[in-house]
Amino acid sequence: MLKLRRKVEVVRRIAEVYPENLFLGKALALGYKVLTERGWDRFESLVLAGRYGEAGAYALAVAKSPAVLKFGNWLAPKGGFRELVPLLGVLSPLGDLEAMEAVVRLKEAGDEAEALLLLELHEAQEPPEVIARVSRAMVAHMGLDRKLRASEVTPPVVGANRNQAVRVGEGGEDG
Amino acid sequence: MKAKERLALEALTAMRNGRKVEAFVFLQSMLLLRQEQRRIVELLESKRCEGVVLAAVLPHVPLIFKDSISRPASGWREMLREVVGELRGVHGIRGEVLEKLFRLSKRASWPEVRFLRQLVKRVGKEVTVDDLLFAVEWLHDHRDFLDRMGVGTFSGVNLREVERAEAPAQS
Repeated sequence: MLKLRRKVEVVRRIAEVYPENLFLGKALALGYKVLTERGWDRFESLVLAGRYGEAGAYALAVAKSPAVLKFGNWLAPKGGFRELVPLLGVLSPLGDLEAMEAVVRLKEAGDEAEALLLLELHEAQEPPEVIARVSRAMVAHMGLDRKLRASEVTPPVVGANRNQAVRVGEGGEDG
Repeated sequence: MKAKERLALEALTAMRNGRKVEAFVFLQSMLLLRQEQRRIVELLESKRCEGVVLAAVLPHVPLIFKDSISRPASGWREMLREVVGELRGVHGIRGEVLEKLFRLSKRASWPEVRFLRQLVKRVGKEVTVDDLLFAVEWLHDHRDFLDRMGVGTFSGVNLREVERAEAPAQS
């Protein structure tokens, strides 16, 4: 079950970026999903200031860092993301076959960051054209993303190596 | 109305009334060519039972040509496009039904697709959008039944048998 953040303005900005800049859009969506309270303020202010590149790089740095706590980003559960099904009903008046196929594909094979962004767009009452455009961009990028394993989150180091990990974190913003 | 459209409507009525075997029989009759379908429709009007039985038997008669297309690897996109195009501008459709439609496009066999295409042609006349969605849902929910009954399977034409069958008639 995905938990919504309900940051409408941030979601809108990410949806603007996504269709043109696939890697950046994916990084921002990943940041939207995995950042905890600690990193969120920084991410949000960067996005709202229009510094998308910095925000995306920050999100990726946190997601890949073994020293910082963050939320996971899993692939779709068995049976897919059920939450995405109502989106099909929203898209069908457009008659946009590709976008509907994209949503079905994301339901089966998407990851949580992608599903969360679509759900937030739906929640923010964005027009269906925007949802269609974003979901098409997501599917266009999905193959390469999975191949690079770019959306896999590095879990923080715990146990025997923990002290070392904390020392790495001390110098940084989150440490 | 063409014979194939008439048979598709018969199948829809059977689905609506919960007669699933009859619906299956009419689905199978979508494999037949025009001439045989006309015969079935004629019989349905005069002697209904005879017509239904004829529709059930004909796909397995080895003397008659049938038409079947195997499913493309990417699913029946043509059918999807037609149905989605028909739903354009219609608000308030449940997402579940649409998902079933997309799943159907990956799993359906030719007679079902042909049946749906006939329904799309008659939308606005005898068929409503609700009927169309009902048919999609029915086909999805009865997938196991249809597969076990062997929807889309038929006996191909054996030309030698055709010749043998026609020879005594000529002499």
